[in-house]
Amino acid sequence: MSSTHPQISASHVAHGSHEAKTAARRRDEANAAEPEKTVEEPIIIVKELSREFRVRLDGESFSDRVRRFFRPEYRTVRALDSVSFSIRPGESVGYIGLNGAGKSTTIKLLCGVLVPSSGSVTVMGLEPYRHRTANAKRIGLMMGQRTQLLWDLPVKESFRLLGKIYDLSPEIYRANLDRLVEALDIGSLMETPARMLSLGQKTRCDLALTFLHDPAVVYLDEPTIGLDVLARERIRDFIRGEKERGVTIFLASHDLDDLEIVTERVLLIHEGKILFDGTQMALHDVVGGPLSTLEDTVKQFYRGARLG
Amino acid sequence: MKYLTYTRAEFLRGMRYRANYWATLTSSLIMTLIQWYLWTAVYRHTDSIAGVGFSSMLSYSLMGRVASGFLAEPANLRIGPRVRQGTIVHDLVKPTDLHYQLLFQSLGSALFRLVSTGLPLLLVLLAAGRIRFPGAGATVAFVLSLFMGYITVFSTSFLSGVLTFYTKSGVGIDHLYTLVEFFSGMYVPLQFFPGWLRAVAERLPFKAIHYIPMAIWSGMTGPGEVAPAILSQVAWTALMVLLCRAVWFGAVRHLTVQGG
Amino acid sequence: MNNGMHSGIDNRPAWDMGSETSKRRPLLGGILNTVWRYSRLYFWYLRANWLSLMAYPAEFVVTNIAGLVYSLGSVAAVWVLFTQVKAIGDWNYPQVLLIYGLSIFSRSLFHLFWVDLMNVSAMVRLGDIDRYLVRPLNPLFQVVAGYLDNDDYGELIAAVILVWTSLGMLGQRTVANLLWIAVSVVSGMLIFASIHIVGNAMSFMTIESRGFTSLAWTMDEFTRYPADIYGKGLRTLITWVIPVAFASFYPAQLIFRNGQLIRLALITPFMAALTFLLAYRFWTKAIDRYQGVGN
Repeated sequence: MSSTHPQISASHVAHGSHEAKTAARRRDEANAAEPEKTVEEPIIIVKELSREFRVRLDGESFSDRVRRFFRPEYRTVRALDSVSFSIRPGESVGYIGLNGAGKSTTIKLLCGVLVPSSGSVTVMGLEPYRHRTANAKRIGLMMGQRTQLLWDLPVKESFRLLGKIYDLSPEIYRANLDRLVEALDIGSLMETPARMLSLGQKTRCDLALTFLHDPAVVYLDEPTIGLDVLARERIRDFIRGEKERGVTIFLASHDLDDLEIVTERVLLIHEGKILFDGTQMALHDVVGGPLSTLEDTVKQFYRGARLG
Repeated sequence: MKYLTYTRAEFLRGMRYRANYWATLTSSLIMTLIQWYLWTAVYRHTDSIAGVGFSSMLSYSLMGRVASGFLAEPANLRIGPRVRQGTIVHDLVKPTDLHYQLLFQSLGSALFRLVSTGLPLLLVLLAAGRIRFPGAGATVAFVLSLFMGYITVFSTSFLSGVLTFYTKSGVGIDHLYTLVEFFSGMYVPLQFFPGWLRAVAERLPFKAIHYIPMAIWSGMTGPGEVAPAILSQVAWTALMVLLCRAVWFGAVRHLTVQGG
Repeated sequence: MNNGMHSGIDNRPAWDMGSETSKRRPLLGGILNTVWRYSRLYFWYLRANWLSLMAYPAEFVVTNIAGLVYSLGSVAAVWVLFTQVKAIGDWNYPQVLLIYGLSIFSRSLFHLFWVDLMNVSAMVRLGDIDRYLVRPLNPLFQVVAGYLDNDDYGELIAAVILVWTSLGMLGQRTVANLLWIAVSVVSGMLIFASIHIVGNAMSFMTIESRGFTSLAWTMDEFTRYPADIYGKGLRTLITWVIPVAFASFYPAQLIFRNGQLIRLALITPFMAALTFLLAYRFWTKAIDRYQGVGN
């Protein structure tokens, strides 16, 4: 690829639907999204998405445990409750929620790891779960707490293997690697075994791995967790740069500074429901009061949500 | 006694895993069947091997399966990883002794395995008439011997676990555990060993894990020999416990004085 | 070829490259293409695994010596038994030794190349499976290729010694027999792999899969001794339902020139392939369950 970046344009969306058809011939072709999209068509469409889990109950008392050992009892938990939103190509969206609000579940549904209990997810015209491989080639996922690096090997080996996994041609591989090494300043780390890297260095390498195959959409789950201020800033700068290249960014983070700096739009999820969807400014307006940091605004918002 | 709370907690933990339980019960039934058919095939052409008759051998082997969960190698006794990950600090600040705590914890899961898989297996074998109680005296001696067998198996694993604290690599006794099992008489009773190998086995503590209790149960150890067998087991068990104490104190001193 | 909407190949992103050239091929070509792609990738995974082993050379040597001793510990039991008796059932010492040797040969190959199946439950717990599901590769391939064990070479050496010795005792060290041994241990490996795939796929449905993992190991125990010592029901079970008897007992019959069982001996590779296909189906169904299909 000679040009710098995957501009998400009509041709790609259309091509996506073609690939979908061939990749899953068995499925109903009519289900695949239709071509003739314009640039402003959403790249991610989530409609009334719900996801439930069944959880086995653990006993409190000894007799409870004995009883449930022989006859288990279950409870259904609704992790996501009829969530709808859509994201345009090149947009960057921050995803905010307390622990257990349904953030990870949403990301898993968007990536095709989980199948919706009801409702639908469409990413670039494909249902991620049905077209797992086709979808996988165009998305990137970074889980801040799990590294993709090969533990005992020099960092460059992880890149090499991932290049093979995504079937990148030598030229593309070289070009992308060079760009990412430069942008994240990881050139000096390439010969170091991953286990000897600091957390900040590891995170930078993981980010580079996530973007190695030129994904059009990238999901970032807590990318700056546990990092110091300087390392965080570096990562935000990089993500902003990728956004400017036109990559669609979906960023879930507890660090609201991340979101404040990187994204304009925020989605607020609480107990499986989207409570707010709009720009940061709009969120300030809803909460009211003096203009403050995103963190204060969100805190205010949750207090309100709990009362309401 | 405060250590018994650990035993109780571990016992309760076992009950949370239901699917696990049925799978474990099935595998222990299968292992019992394999033993049963193996010894039947071995005794097809002979009545007695090294003075051991078929019914005695079967009793030795099947009771061995019943007790196998109880006498299984306890898990999580490696001290080395605890030191390297730093979690040993939590263990050392508690007002308990880690050696005893682990002993009673492991006893909890061993008892759970005994009650949950050993007991049903025993009932099945009793109902099928494949196993018989050897008489009150021998049964009492067997139970006593079984508990000492447990302490020996725990001590063996604990010693190797503490050794991982000194050796940097993760290699422990568990990589050589078939040898422990072999010399404990778990695969074949010690009478079957050629003379020189028997002499080796008699000088190792491992026979106290399996051979002594099962030989008492199956009558391989005659009524007059039970008391000396138990006494020698007491001696071996005491020796193992003392060895554990010594090595453990050494490790703690090493840890607190030199900082690991 | 593509709605005519492509302006040119140049500005397509990396994930788009070469995708449709491979899609339109006939079925056989497609299969060969996939096999070629995965073989190449397996090479790269192997390379990474080997490089990781090289990071700890001393540990590699020590654990493998320990592994050799480990397998000899259980072989010692068979040897001790035969110092006392002449046969187990209808099988003499070299025959039992060959069956035992084939059993640990297949097992060590399985262990060497498939060991990370044991960690599926941890992968589910820690999210590695999710990672594998967002890569354009088969998840089972990623599980299996992702990690090679470093302490099974000792067991493999023990197995080779055992098979070689017993073939000598039987006077059967021919090239044809050695080729058959190669076929049967690969089949045996696939059969073990199938059982462990099913056992560990349970991790996708229940968080407590340790019992199933150990149940899978227990099935392996059947292969250590001649399969005809078991009762009729059990024998049918390990021949036709969970066909572990094809991992050691039946293939050995070809070397014993046992006329009655030679037909069963000859179908060993087919049984292995069939078992593997069924196990793989179970695995994909289990992953579907994990993802929540039809919930």
